[in-house]
Amino acid sequence: MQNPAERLPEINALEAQAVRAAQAGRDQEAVRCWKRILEIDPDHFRTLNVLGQRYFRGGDMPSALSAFRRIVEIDGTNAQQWIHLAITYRNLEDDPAQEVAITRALSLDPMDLVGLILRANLLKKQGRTHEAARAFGAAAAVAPPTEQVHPELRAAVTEARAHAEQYNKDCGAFLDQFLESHLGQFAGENLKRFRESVDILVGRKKRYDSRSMIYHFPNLAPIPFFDRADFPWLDPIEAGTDAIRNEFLEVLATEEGFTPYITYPPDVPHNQWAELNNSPRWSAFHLYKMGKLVTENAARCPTTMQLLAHAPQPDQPGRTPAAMFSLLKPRTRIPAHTGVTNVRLVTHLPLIVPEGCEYRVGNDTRQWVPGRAWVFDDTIEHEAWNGSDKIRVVLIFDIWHPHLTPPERAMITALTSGLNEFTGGAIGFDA
Amino acid sequence: MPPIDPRVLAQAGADALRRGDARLARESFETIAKAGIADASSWLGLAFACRGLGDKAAALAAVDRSLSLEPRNLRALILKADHLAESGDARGASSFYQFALQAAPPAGQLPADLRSELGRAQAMCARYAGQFEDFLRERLVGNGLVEGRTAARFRHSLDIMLGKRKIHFQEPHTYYFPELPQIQFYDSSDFSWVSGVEAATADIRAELLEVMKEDSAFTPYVQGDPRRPRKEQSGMQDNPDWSAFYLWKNGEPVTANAARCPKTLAAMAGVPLARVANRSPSVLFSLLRPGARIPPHTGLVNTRLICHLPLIVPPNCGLRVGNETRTPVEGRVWMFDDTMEHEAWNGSDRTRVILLFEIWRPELTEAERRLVTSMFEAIDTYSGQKPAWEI
Repeated sequence: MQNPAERLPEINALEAQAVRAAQAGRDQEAVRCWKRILEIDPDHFRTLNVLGQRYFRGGDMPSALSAFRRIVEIDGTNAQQWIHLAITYRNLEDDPAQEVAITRALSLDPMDLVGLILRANLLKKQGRTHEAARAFGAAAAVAPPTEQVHPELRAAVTEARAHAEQYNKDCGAFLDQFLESHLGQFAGENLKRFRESVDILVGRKKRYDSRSMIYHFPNLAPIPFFDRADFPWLDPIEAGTDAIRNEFLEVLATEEGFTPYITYPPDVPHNQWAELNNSPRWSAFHLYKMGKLVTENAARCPTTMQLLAHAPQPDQPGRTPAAMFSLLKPRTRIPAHTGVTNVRLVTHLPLIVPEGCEYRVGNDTRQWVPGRAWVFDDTIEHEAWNGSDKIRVVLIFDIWHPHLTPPERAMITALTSGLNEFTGGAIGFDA
Repeated sequence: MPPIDPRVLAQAGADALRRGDARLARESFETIAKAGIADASSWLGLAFACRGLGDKAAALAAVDRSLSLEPRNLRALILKADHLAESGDARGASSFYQFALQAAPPAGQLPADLRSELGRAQAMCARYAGQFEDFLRERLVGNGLVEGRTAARFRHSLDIMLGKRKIHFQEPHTYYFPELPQIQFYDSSDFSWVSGVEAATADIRAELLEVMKEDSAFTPYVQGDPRRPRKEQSGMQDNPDWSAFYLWKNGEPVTANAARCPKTLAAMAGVPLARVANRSPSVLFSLLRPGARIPPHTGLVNTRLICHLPLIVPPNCGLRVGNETRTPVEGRVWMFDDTMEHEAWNGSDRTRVILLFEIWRPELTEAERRLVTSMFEAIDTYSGQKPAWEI
């Protein structure tokens, strides 16, 4: 046989004729030309590819196979070449050969969606449930949002997602049962963190981090609700709940001194606060505001102020401490948000709590109970709602993050003074 | 009065500005403004004209009108910033310069003069940041900020606030245990067993040197697994640049290797190694060839810490964990959270070797450790196979 290189002009002419014929719908002529090319040059790459795909679409798997095999023999450097081969083997029900082709494809591109789906389905067919689940999970992880997936692949991607989800669910149910007896050994221990780690592992819960909007202090643990036992100074404050509530009710009767909780000027982004900005639906009666005693308000609540002195409140001139009665009107929701800095925690002492109120920090949703305080990290996403037709009232105040050492607290106070001095008293950040 | 053609007037104003005739430019743009038909660029033209005439108040008013119509116009943002800078409002100026830099498209898509204006904005931002930092540090030193352990976290917080360090979070690939502090390097003085291990450095190194006499003792650290997709450890798979000699691997002793290093294993006796079937402990010599770099990556689970005892450390070796970079020192143990993004390098022309092992995270209670162990065993029972595990 003559060297194909010397017959390139002839090949090119045949190829041009084939393309023209195919475009004009003269399929037989096109195929005749392509076959002729392969007689001259059995390794003509484009022709092998186009004929292989035509055979495949026409259901002639043995012919498609010989074309696609030749392609990977000549080249084999592109994942798609192996994918074509794998799909052909699948249709021929040659599982071992399909597996090899899939492995070759994924070795070239480990994130190839079709390759991962083929692998998952093959493993499922072989009864290798757990490996199949991992492959479905990998396919679900690399797949773009459904509307961006090629229509022919959508059903497969949806199946991969459902499969991965179901597997996680089954695994979670198995672990729950398995761990039951182990958990029993530790009766009386606080195993909340561990339980949550399992929920996150099997996808039942999301993970939340501390996201300070302004000032982040490193190395602190992102704990949504702290253990009440860590704060013995809350005892006298809780014991004074009735007195505090009475002072609040007197204030409420006069309807004086309340201001909207959110008061952003019009020319800054409002984000999630658009609805509650300057709204009486969520209002506050401030005792300490931006680090300053609100003298006329504090004077109306002497017992509350006395009890508040037990709390280790932060000292950031112009920013903290903060303390206020927070009043949430009926059917009002405070949208999910994160606070400005994790150097302080926030304490709630519930005073008036109708049915249908809830509070969520991270994964933990709780109900306020009058007289029972809690301490939480407001740099972890949190939200609140009053689903009742009555008002909800909570005494809110901030405290130093208990894991900060005294020198660290002193430095944070100094830092705030430095910021104030640098900006000449203009507010550098809200807190 | 004849009707105003704003296009003609705007063109006249722009031409006048180019010629440096601020007076005529102001007249043209003001005519448009008075007719109530000024767009963002007419207001901006007026602002430049007023600025040229030294009428700062009018310039500010005009640029504000322009920005209210087109809040991301780069020239308007920079003009506003310049105005604030001249009036001594460094913070305000800085925020507008910064916003202009953020709003700017890639430099290649900008005309040359705007590119140089943005360069100026960048320089101004850097200057303000430097002033701010100097000021704060001076004040804080006056307030007792000293180097040393008590201030370490605080200095770290300061760097984050000043934008000099990024916040890193734990990013385990397979298992996240919540509510743990996000610490990059732990303080080795908090661990009582460290001194015992450090005291054994010479013995451990002697055993290592014996092992290293055999060329084939070490195997690539990242091994290809035909059952798994290729790792994303760019170029490290099956690469002898980063290789290991295991004494324990994924919870099993490597008997032949362990027999060659009795003193090393003895030194591990006091270490709270995690014991989890098919996973932990692993104890190994980790070898990094000259010039090799382990690319940034994150580990599998945050219930353990990785400990290094550096044994052979040429110059120019380092480890970055999150936003902190340290240089290994022979015989000094450190421990870090490998679920924080980390990378290591050997920039020398000699081999670097460390002893690597893992311990339970100190914050986990005994009950939590036992449950984590049970859970991993349950996962293996459920899947009926050994996990793809790595240290």
